[in-house]
Amino acid sequence: MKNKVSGISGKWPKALGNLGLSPVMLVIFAAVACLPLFTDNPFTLRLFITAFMTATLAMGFDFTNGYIGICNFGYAAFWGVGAYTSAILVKDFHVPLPLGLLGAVALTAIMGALIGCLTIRLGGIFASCMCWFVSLALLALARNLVDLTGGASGYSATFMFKPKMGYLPYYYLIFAVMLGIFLLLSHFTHSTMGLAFRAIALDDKAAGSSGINHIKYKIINFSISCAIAGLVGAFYIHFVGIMTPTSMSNEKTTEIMAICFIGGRGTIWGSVISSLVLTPILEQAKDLLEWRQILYGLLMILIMIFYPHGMAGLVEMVRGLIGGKAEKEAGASEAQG
Amino acid sequence: MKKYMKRIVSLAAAAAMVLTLCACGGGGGDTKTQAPGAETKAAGGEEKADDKQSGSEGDKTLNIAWIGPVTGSASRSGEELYNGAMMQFEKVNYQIGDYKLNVFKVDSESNAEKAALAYEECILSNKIDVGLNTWHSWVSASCIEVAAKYEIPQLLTFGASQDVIDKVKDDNDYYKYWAGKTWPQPEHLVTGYVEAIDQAIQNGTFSPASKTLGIYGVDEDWGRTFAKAGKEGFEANGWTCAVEEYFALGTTDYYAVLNKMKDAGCTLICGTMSDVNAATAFIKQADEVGLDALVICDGLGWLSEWYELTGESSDYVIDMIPQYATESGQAFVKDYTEKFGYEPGPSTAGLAYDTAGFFLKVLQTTYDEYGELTSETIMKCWEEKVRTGELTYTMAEDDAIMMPAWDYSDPDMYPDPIVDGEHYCFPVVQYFDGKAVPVYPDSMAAQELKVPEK
Repeated sequence: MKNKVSGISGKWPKALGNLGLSPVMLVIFAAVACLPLFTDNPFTLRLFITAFMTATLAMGFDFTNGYIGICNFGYAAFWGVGAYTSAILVKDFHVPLPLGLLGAVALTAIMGALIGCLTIRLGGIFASCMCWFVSLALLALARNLVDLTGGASGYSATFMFKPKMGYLPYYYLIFAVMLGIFLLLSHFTHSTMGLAFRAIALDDKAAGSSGINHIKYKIINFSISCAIAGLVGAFYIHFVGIMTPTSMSNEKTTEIMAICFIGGRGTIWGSVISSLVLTPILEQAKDLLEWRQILYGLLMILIMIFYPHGMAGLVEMVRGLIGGKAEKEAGASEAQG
Repeated sequence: MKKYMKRIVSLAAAAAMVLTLCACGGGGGDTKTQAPGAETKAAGGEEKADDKQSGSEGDKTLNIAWIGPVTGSASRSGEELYNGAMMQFEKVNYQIGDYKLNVFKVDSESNAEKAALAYEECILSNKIDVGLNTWHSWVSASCIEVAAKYEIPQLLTFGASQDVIDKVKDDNDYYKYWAGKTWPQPEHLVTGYVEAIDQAIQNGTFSPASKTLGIYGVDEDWGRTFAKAGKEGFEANGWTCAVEEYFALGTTDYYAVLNKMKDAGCTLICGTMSDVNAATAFIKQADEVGLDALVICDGLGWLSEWYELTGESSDYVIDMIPQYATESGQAFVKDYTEKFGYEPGPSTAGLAYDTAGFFLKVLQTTYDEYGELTSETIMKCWEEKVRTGELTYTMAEDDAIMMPAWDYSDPDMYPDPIVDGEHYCFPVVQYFDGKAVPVYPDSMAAQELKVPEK
């Protein structure tokens, strides 16, 4: 019997299924984990570090967008806040780096909880706009608190690892973060919490009347989602070395949103697949210059119209075709027997 | 049938996109300008480190990474920077000695992370020997690490945050490859205003009742940095700051502050605003309240349609913006306009033209001195010739069009060039009837600085 939430067939261990670890995802994670064994090209490693960061952000975005139905238009701002928080704690307050990362997660989680409170009475586009307004305020703060953030010129951070160590430590660290977030979010979405999120997304009043505390679950959802953004932001600034207010603008949110939608909204694993596929493709397409963005936009439009379930839907369709064929053959052989 | 047609259309569109992406070729992130007649060098793939020959046997190549915003919000600036630089390369026919110059364009996309990724890819795919240019300070901050990692000299970059400057100064062994900034820090540029006013006082053109200064600025990074630099510069020259005020972006009512400056007896006002409404309102209101002071409004000339808003209130206002002050500069403007169909911005195409000229001079000197062009020899030339002042780029000898002289020999100012009236200096201008008239330094001045009659 097929798991309706994960889409994984009954023969697959339920424990793995509830963590989102389908055969496809296991193969993908194993492949990217082993990639450094087959190449030491720094560019390839750096490209996949970018893909892992984007995948993690897209998963965090999808946790809100795909499960409680609120599109956080200001998601990149929380990514930026996490970056600034960690960098400032480490550089200005001489806090050890792990604590800086923890501080970034804590602050963005608290901010996420506050956003959750703000959106309690709002739904749909109004909640999304509220998120966007909050991000504009954060952007303005980043730009104008010059003494704290460096203003428009940006804030430079200490690097997580010494330059001579190369990209390998960053690669495996962000891979571990991506995998950990994937497992965590898959666990949440497969639990009763996930059911509660889906009920709230459909109709939060009806969910409330069914005994689901939609306020509590919205706050939890926003906290987790924004904390993920803060964690990736903290990693980003200690990897790239600088964060600017421009980087945390709507353009970044749109990029994350695109990865999420192309991957498949409300799946978590779709974001991983789309990031791992699209990041290298878009990098190779740089020679197209502005046309790349046009094609990117066209791709999104096509997917929204013809494949609204994104890459996850395509994978499910292929799986269904294979599974359906196997079932037919099994049925035919049973009939013959 | 409808569903079938939908699938056909979507698959056809997807196939078209995939084919387009495949057709774009490898070497993502960089496009190449090749020497005329040279064969296209295969981008991407695993090339041997010593496989640098292309075209006919015996031809040598020098692979150059040019970093700039090819796409994104600053793409127009990137276009002018690139065009200005390539006009110099065309003059030497992309050739230095027996080396063909291959220029690879690295699109920074105005993003630190994307720029570093593209730059690294370009270095690995195209065996880059040397680099030229950046534009944004945050791009410099990320790409400096890549340049240091691969020991690629990246010469004459525009953007540089304080962090980049600190790295170059504090750990010069590792970060020396980030060689020479093209746009000095504001505190260095302010020197021009200070020297211009001081010269006017010494000439007797400007006789203030007292050296009382008013400082103003937009309350953000640029405004505060500039105003602070202005205050320190003038105070070091005997001025006393009586009023210092900053205004939120979008403020247009300055009567209170201007009256305060008038009551304090300010004879010189120095500051900057970042939007046209604020800057023009400040100037008009200063005229209305009868403020008897010379007004420095840095960057007024950058703003569009400012004269339509100020009218004659802007007469005598002082600014500092790059100008094509020489005949060579005017010739460059004519050539650029004929070639590209629009006039080149002095702070983009003009400066890029000069820096590319200096860059090529460094390459030529390297070739003449060491007989080969490699990352090592180019870096050696920079350290031994440029940083000692032996190699400069000047209006007099090299036909530089923007600066009297590009000189990187001052260790205190480095990686900034030497900034003063005889070296790097944007002309100080005064506006009359909406036209900028250079008044300092003498090598660029059309007339002396003037003071309005009381």
